[in-house]
Amino acid sequence: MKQLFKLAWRNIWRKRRRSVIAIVSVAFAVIISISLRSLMLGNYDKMVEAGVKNSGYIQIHFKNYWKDKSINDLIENSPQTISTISAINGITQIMPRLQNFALAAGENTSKAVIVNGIQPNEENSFTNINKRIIQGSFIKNNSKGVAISEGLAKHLKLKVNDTLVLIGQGYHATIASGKYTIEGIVKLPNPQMNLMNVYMPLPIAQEFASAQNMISAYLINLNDNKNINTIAGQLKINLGNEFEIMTWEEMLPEIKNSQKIDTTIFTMLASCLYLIIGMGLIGTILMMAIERKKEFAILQAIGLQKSQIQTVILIESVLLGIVGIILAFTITIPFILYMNANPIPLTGDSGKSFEAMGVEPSLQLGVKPYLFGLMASIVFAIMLLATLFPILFVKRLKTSEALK
Amino acid sequence: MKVIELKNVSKIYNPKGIAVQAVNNVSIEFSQGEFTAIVGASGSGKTTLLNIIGGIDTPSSGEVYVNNKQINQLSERKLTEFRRDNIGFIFQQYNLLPVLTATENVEFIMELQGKPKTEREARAKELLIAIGLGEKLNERPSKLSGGQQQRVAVARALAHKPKFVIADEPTANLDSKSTEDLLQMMQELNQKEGVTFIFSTHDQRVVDKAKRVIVFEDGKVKEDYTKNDNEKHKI
Ligand SMILES: Nc1ncnc2c1ncn2[C@@H]1O[C@H](COP(=O)(O)OP(=O)(O)OP(=O)(O)O)[C@@H](O)[C@H]1O
Ligand SMILES: [Mg+2]
Repeated sequence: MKQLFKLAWRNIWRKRRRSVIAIVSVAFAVIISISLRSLMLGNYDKMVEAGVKNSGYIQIHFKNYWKDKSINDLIENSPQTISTISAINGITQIMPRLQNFALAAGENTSKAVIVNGIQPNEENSFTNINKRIIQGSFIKNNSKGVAISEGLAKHLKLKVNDTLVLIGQGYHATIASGKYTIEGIVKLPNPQMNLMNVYMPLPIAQEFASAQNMISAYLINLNDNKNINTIAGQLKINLGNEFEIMTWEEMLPEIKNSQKIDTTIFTMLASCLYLIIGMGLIGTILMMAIERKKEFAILQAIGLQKSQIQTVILIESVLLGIVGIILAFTITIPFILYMNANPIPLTGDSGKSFEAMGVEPSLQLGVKPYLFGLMASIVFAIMLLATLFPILFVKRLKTSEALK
Repeated sequence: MKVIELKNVSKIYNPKGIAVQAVNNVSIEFSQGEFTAIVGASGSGKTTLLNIIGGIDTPSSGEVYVNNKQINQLSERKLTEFRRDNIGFIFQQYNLLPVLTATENVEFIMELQGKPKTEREARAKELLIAIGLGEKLNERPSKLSGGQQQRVAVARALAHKPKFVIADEPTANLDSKSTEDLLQMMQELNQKEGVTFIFSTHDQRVVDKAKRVIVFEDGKVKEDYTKNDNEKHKI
């Protein structure tokens, strides 16, 4: 075996330039595909993070709440429910919210808004919404007033310390209405959202909707997204049928969809890339065999088994693959780590569209170790495929004829 | 002692339906220590015969025995093993592996057989020095002249001490000086190691060195005789 290995290794360097081209093309395919995919997945991670930052990993509602988001489909904010939830491992935070729709009136215009009843301190630690304040200060747990989004303030021509009038539907067909002092104005990254959000402490919102101690959702945070489906399943079992348990993937299907599209695009690109490179490799490896026909015949005559010659060919292509992969990894690993630690800031329109999704406007490569294993396996599969032809060639080789 | 025996061996090629009788009912024997030349016109069947003797090709009919063991029935795998352990080959050209040094080429078959490194190295060195290439032990074939390469090929063919050596026109690509050197060397090794040599040739000088001459014509043995030292066979 050592002898065959020595032969294979030296054969690779026999036509140095050709081998270098083969190695570089393998490395090229691996580098491009890993980098591109890391960029996509890094981007995806950021979208998930931004989405989850707003919705939590999991939400618990009254059954069928999500479809209509009706103020009549509420759950009780009870210590039992909370302790049932927090009994499950992996849950780091439980946050109640009461969401309602209302009409907000300024001096002479009105606007449909979302009224968010929240626990300001908890919410800050999770969504950092207080960092978005541009006027006044964000509401506290014991505030009596509200914070509104900047677009809304502009539309209603309201500023800090002005009064916001809200009218809407309350719990069980009551009329909800109230007047609130504006304590702060926040600028939300998503322009749509920026036009329609009102934040008030949970008790004030419950009073507004005549829904004492009721909430529309618990937002659940996890220490690791990996366990999300297990935890959601456990919640379903432990809480029973009255509740609706939704993961962020279910609440934000557009993230999953955009990932599906990305995956399709990537698969197509990578397939093309590997197809082209693969054909080149098949050609190279087959040529390497065909031009050594006489040499193989002599080797066979002096006592090398066909299987041993085939082994040499196999080792040659595996070595080409390994060297290519090592080259690719030595370039990609530091590159990805660097690009992960130092994202490229995005400016202009693309930056704005990132911001609109509440996503940091930068290109950041994700660190995904499994990609390396995946791409290495693909290269090996191609190399093995490429070796099939010369192996058949040797199988058919007739020594006495090849010697002529 | 009889080393090789051919009984009624024929080889018929059948390309595109036209039968060519390359070897026609040949029966010959070769004994230990022979130094035999096979001569004959181009297309007379020399290569075909040598390939059959060497187990590279199989006869269409007839039997081939080496050391009383019938080889023309062996499977490809067994036959390859048989060649490795019993026969040394010298071809007209491209004998050596270009990626191996002279020493490594000579050691090659011994390494395949799993002989220990020290034994291999000693044997390769001994042979390469004997053929006058003691200075070129670690050169690759591309750094050697054609004559030197053929000498290394002879060393390789002998290294694992085969029962016999088959050489199909070993001097065809050599100038007269190299031809003479190679023949000289083959002769010395034939005497010193007692190994049987069977070679085909078109070269009068090669025939002159042979002890036995087999003349081939149309796939048949036309003449087969053992010479006295000074006798000449004119081809
Ligand atoms: N693979 C083959 N297919 C068909 N015919 C063949 C094949 N190999 C050899 N022959 C024919 O068999 C005959 C003997 O060929 P062979 O090569 O043994 O001759 P040779 O004596 O070695 O000739 P040369 O001196 O030119 O090397 C020739 O007529 C040749 O055309
Ligand atoms: Mg011939």
